[in-house]
Amino acid sequence: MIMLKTLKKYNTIFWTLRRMHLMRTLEVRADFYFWAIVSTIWTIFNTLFFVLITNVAGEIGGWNIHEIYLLLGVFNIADAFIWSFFYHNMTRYTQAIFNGELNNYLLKPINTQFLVMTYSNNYTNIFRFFIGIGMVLWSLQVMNIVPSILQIGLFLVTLLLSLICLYFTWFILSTCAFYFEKLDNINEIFPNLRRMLQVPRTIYPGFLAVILQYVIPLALITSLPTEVLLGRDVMNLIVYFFFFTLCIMYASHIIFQYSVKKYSGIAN
Amino acid sequence: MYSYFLIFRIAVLDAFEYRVNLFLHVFKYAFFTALTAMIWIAVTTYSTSSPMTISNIIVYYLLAAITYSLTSFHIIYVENDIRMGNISSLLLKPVKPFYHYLSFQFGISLLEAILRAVILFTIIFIYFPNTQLQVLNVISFIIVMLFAYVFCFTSFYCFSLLAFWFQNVSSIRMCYLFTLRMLSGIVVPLAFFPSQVQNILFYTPFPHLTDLPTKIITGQASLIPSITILSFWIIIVYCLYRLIWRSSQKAYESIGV
Repeated sequence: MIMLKTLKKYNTIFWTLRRMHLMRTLEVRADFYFWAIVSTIWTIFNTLFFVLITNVAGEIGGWNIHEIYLLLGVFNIADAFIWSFFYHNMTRYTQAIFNGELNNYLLKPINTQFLVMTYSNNYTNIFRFFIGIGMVLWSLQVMNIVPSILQIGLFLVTLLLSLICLYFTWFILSTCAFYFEKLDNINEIFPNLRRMLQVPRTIYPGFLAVILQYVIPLALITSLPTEVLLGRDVMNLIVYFFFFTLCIMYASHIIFQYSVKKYSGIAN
Repeated sequence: MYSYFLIFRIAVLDAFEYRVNLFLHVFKYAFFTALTAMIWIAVTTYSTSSPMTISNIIVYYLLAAITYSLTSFHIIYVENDIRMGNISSLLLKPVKPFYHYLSFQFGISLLEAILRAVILFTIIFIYFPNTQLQVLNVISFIIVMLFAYVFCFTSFYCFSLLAFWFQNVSSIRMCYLFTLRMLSGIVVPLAFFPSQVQNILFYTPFPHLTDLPTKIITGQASLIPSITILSFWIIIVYCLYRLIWRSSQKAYESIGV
């Protein structure tokens, strides 16, 4: 009963924060439209990169052109979350550690990690999200694939797992800001690694493939949900990925609890 | 002139203040380069019609990482100074804001480019010994990159000056930056573009920022056409900057700073 009440409270806080940021976005509408254009242009250029590549070779890592476009669609959906949610919160988090504003988070009567990870967001990448959905639907139609309800459910679960895994790994990395002064550029590592999410996991050779699938499973983030839609047998990988994500979530909690003891909040 | 040198020096010292941050800033592009090279390895494995060999592509991206420092940067601080009114203090000093920011950004970009160049040239010499890097070509590369830097900074500055009229202009500047990255060859070597597009692009400043400098350093292109075209475009963007700056001075108000 108490747990249900707590969950309800956190749910209310989460959606209140989203509403607050929506109001803030609508306050400066021209900026929202311009950033939406930027986001759309970036998505078009990124797709153009793969169009040029697929002109050279008919396939990449054993995946044909339409499978690659399906993967890109899934990537665009994930990328919309990266720029709307993850990047903003993690930038704010590392800056808060540096300038002492973390005090404000620590003093609130809720879980600090929850607040840090959900406080901020923006809506300018919403078009990227819809472009991603459009690309997924278009690719499935071109390949004559009609996924079953079970496949769609599994796709959503793996996509959610991928986003959680990515976000908590990013959070662990950003927590290094407790140990180094001014570490803004740590938040540039994941955006620069996004190229990894745009290609099938089969392109990585030998030992690197093992690392990127099992040790730091970044190669699975978009490949796994895509392969679910393609009807490939990846059940073993999904089970592994599920337990890996749970471990990452737990590790992030332990690391944050340990690191926050190093915080002195001097700058504030 | 000496005061601009001091501003340049301050930018370098400022970057060195937080070394781990600087290290991450210098090497963040390394991940992108390594991953892009890996994609091209996968692509060329299945292709028989690639206009570049895999070693050429990898060397291209390594060299592009150096040009990236000098052509692809964010001058968001200019917009912030205008919006927050901090530019007033610059207007009172015996320095021109344009040259102040030009020197400051040059300090950051040059430091980043040098650090990358040391690492990346070492990689090229060890893993790609067939790459022809002659002293004269390296000097030509440095010259063309100086022109490329001036062009990029001036054009970014023109966009930033729009902050005198609009509240947030970084989105407009980012639209331009993405276009610049795509058309300069940072994302895809221009050899992969259709030949008609390449011919048209040659007369724009974009291929002279990354694609042609990488050819100049490897002795596959001449310095003169790039410098001529870049000089022409520098004059154009500089005149545009003067025009925007003059009208911005009439629009600028700084209250309570």
